[in-house]
Amino acid sequence: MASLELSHRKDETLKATVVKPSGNLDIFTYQSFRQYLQDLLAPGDENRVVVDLADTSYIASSGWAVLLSQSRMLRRAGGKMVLVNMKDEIRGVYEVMNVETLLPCSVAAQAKAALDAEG
Amino acid sequence: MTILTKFSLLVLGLLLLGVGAVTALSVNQQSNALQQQAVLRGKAMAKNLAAGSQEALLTGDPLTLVNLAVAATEDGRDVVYAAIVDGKGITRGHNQREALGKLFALETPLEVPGFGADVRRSGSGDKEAWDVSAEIIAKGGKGPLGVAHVAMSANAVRQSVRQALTKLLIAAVILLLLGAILSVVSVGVMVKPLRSLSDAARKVGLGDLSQRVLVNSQDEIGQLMGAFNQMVEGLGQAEDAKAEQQRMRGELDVARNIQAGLLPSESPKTKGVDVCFYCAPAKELGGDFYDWFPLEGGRLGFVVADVSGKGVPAALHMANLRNLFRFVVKDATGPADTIKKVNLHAWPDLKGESFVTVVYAVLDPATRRLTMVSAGHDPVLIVRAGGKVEELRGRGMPIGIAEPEDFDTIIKEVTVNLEKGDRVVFYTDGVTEAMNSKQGQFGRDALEKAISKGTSSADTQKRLLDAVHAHAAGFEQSDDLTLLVVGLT
Repeated sequence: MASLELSHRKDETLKATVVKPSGNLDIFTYQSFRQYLQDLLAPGDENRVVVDLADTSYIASSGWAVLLSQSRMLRRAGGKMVLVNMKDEIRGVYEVMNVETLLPCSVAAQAKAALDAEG
Repeated sequence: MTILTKFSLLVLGLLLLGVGAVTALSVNQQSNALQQQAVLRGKAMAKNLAAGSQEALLTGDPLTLVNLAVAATEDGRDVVYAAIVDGKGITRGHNQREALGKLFALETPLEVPGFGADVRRSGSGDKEAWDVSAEIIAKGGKGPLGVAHVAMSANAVRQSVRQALTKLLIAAVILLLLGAILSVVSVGVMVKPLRSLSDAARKVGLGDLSQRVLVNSQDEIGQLMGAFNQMVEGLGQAEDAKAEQQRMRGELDVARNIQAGLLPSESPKTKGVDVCFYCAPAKELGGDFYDWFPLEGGRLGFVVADVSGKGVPAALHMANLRNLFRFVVKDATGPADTIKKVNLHAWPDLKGESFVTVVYAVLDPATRRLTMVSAGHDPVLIVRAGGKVEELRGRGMPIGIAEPEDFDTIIKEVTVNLEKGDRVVFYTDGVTEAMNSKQGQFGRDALEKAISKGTSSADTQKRLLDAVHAHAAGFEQSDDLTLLVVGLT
């Protein structure tokens, strides 16, 4: 069974918290991923989040549900979530879902611009 | 042999050993003390007799000597004889007349260990005596005139030792009896909880998990009883958990049947249309579903959907969505309108925690035109009669993640003209993302390859499922897998 490792760091340039899930976001790991994000965002002082998917090779629908719901909560609180370093195999599913407006994705170099963008 | 018997025998053996040792030791000591006492008395009497007989021996007065000897024997019943012997060894005074005038001799003149040369053994058995002698010295001091003998009976000492021994033995028997009773009672008290424990254990073995034993001590046995109670408690809980699990499994089986019953089991009977379907949840309950319904003008509506997540929550959303579709499709003007209405009603229920990707297509068999919308779902694949595979990709967000005004602006219908012999393949990501043991996904390329060779819709479906199963090679299915193939004949 694929496992998931979770880490995060503060990025001063981006003025955001960068969360890095390593492994698969699937039916076996989505609950721990959701708990991790909830614990991280619970204090409410952080509303800019970058999810670095460089080491994520698979996102199942349950994983997308976590990302979309957390992104929605951030947007309601005036913040934003941006995905970066998305692999091609995940990009296919991402594009099919047509969710760029709700959960933007960008290359790492433009993460700041994506976070600052309106919407 | 019970613990009671073993312990009682052990206690009795130890008592016997102890009492035996004490008895032997004290009898020996008493015997020695009595012997010493008798000999010392003999010595005093012999000295007395020697002093008293000195004058009579000098004057050769035989009557006085005999009287002196007789008087000495009357001093105590443990004196066997008293004799006064002159310098030549002839008996001059004796309590037994026949001994007078004869040479004085001891029967077995052995020295008695622990005493000087003046104490010797005389006779044996019942007649054994200790002969104690004292020299008769003249007042002038010219060497000994003779020797006075007093013989102390060994038998008397033996008798008092025997009496003492009897008393000791009686005491020992009483002690042993008391020890036996005490050990039986105390071991019985100690063993009693063990008996109740073994009774309880037997009942637990027969399935009675309400058994508990009374813990009334803190010793090892008490600890054992406590551990037993804990064990039975744990067994009971495990049993309850197992029963609960069985009940839930039973409920899940029923729910699985209900869910399977929500999916259509029959294909449309429309001429020129040949429909096959397949749906396999990864767990007892799934979030995938397919459906079809007849529409106005002989048209047919087809739905394939995938609720995010698995199990009971996904199954509840699935049932809700399936009914919602059947409900709104009657009044909707087309596929886009249908799916917008579904999102409008489903969106509050899904609360942004779950979402549903859906492809909904309407086929007009008369014109062979297919119009579809996709709510964030995988594309629909069209296998042309010659085997060429085309992709039909709609545009739209999954149901349940966007508010209607956002959702409605993005959703877009796509239309395609089909020919006789074409097949339309609707699938969920359980097909393309079917894993093997090396975490390798089945993939789009393998999907296209498998369906391109199919002939009828049933054959197309079979080829695809065979390829997916060959890829997984027995690896556990991790996602629901749904397939709907519409062929034009």
